[in-house]
Amino acid sequence: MRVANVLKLANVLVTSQLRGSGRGRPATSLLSRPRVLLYVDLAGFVGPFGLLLVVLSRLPPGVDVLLGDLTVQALVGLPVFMTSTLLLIGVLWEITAPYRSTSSDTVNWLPLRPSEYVLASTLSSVYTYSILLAIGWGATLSLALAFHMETLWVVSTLVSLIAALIGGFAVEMLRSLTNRVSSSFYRRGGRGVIAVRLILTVLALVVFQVIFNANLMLPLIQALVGAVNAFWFIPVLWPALLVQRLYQADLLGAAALAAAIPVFTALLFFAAVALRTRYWLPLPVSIRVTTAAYAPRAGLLGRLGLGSVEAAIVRKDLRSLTRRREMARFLALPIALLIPFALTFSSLSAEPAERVIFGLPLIVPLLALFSLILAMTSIGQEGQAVLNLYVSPISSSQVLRGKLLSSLLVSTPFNVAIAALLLAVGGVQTDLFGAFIAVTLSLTVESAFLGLAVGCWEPDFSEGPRTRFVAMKGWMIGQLAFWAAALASEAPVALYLYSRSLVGTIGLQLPVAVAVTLAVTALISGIAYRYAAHAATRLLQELRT
Amino acid sequence: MDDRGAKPEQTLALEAEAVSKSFGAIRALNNVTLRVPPGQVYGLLGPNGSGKSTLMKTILGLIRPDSGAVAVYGLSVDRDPIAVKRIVGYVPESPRLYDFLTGVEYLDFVADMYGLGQAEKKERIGEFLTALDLEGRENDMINGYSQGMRQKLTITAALLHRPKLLIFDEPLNGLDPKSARIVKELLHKLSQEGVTTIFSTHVLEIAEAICHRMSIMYEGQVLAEGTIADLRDKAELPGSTLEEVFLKLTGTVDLREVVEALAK
Repeated sequence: MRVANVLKLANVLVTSQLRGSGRGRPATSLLSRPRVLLYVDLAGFVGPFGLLLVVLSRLPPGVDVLLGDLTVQALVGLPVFMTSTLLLIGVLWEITAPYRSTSSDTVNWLPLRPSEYVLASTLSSVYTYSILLAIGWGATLSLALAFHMETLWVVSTLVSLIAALIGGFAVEMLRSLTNRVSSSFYRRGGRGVIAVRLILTVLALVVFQVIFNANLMLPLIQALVGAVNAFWFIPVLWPALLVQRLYQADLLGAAALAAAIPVFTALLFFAAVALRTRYWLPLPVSIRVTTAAYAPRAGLLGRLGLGSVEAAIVRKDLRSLTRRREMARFLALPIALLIPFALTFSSLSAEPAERVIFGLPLIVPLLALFSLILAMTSIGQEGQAVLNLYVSPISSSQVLRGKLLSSLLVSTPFNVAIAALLLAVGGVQTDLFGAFIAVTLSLTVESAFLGLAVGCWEPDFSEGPRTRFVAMKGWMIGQLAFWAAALASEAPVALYLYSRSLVGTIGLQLPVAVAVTLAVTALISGIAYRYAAHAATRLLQELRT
Repeated sequence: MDDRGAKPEQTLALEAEAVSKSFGAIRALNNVTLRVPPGQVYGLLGPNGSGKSTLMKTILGLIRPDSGAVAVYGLSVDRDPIAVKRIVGYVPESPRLYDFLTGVEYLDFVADMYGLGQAEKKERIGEFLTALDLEGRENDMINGYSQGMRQKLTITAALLHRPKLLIFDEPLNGLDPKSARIVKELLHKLSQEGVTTIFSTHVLEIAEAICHRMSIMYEGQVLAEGTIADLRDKAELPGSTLEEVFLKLTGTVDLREVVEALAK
């Protein structure tokens, strides 16, 4: 392995990501250089460290015991958090490079070894998201200093870095595996296999994400701190276990784990290299979708009264969603988010109906998130082919309507079906059933409007690896706006439910609460649409790619 | 070629008046003025980075000029971009297609964007698929297409709605000889029917063969404009080839030093 090549490639991958989302920014700008992440990391380290140091110095006596336990949990939990987060991010962004950039990627025809690529790609992922490490290290250092756990902190720091690499290697494995699914099916061709490929890809993403999900890991970590030996057989937990053993002064156990962790990490690396060697480089082979002769049809959308432009955009976007590998993550996301949540709630001791009533105000925004992400990425996912929209004699409002319908046609049935399923399983009363369906529907629509506004405002048309379809700034603004809007919209219904469960009625009637929620969502949707219309007009005025 | 096809009494197909455009410190277009009558095949020649593609995008309204104005068949590109797009067909330098659609789905999408009726769509798409040898591959996804097939699809998409002005940026890139010949003949025939083509190419023999008039652009400016005879006069190279005229006007006559350096 040539280390210089690895470092150069890692540098290029990080640079590509930075510049991909920094449209119009000059290459010489500090923000376009990988070095900027070092400064961000430094701030991420110093900020929490200083803040916690100040807070700890002002705490009243007696809180020490609680904080001491928290410090141990944080030091033990940091490695697990890093592995699961790297994988979660991997599922979201890393594994799904667009077809074109994978098949014609420069790295495929440069004399690079698979091992060099895997290591470089993993390093670049870890470096890109190193802010998480920096914050974790900074926060735990102040705690460790306060409770004299400096040695434990050093070990936790080292193993959390290794844990991040473990997450990175797992992402590389997943990347090759999903690629294998695509390639093998592309070779055989046919509409049916597109569906099978999609289902397999979504399943792979869901399974990997659920296995490493922090929500599921949290009870494990808590149990781990209490019952040291229970999880020794899970290699992903070994870094956390090592910190725990050291804390309990089990030096022999710690030494064994210290020896086993590099072996496990190396095995993961070699597995990732083997998978890449075998399954990389998708073949640009054609797939035949139909053998039928071309016969233009108005289709269902046309019969529903949609204009030809809007209907064409909807048809194209639905095909995009079901045929593009990089879109599979969006279909996997809501399922992957819901499963751990549903598992957590199913383990509560309350009655099924109470569990659903308690959980739904939290689950509905998660469902609406699906709608937000679909709409938010709907503009950027056009990629360079957005030129087709620019050269067409269509108005920005036609594009907007088409995109909105594309997102809603997918997210609405899914969200309503899941909500209805949960309500039916919980056996909730009819009035609550109707209320929650209405709330789910309105939040789904509201989120689509919000997503579209952000997607039009900050689209990312780049087609390089790790494309997000929406600029980082837009992604963050979108998330903030979404949670704020969801909170405001759901507040009346949530207030009604929780007050009824916890303190009895407070005079708020369910129909009133639902009506206020609907009014708030309508208001937010209206505002978001105005922003979206303005942004779309601005966007389509001049080619930006 | 002669000046056939020019009908000066009609509204100009293209009128670009003192168009300038800068990208940061780079002056992509510098006071460019062009007037193209209907029915002409008009060549835009120039080395890489001379501003040809920028000018073409400006004509279509994809790029807004910093100053100057562009009108297509009397329609202001700035004031009525959608009306302009309705009568223009564009082939970009690098085809940007939706790889996840099949060839015929892509053409169907483009036809819908131009509001073609069902019967017209079927007829036009069928005609072009046959003429450009895409029949039999039309139901394959575009990501399996060769560069030439993509180019054919792009050309077909640009012609589906029977545009009055064609903007073809290096349209023969990647085409096999038969398809290239078909496209050239097609442009000739469309010209006789009154369709105007703005055509950019680096292959000067092609420009010489099919363009009625041409401009030689360099560093965002039009150095010379006219028929091949006009350009020879301007370069003071009577009887010379277009390549010799081009190299003289763009100041790149002596290439021996460059070749020798590269051969080392």
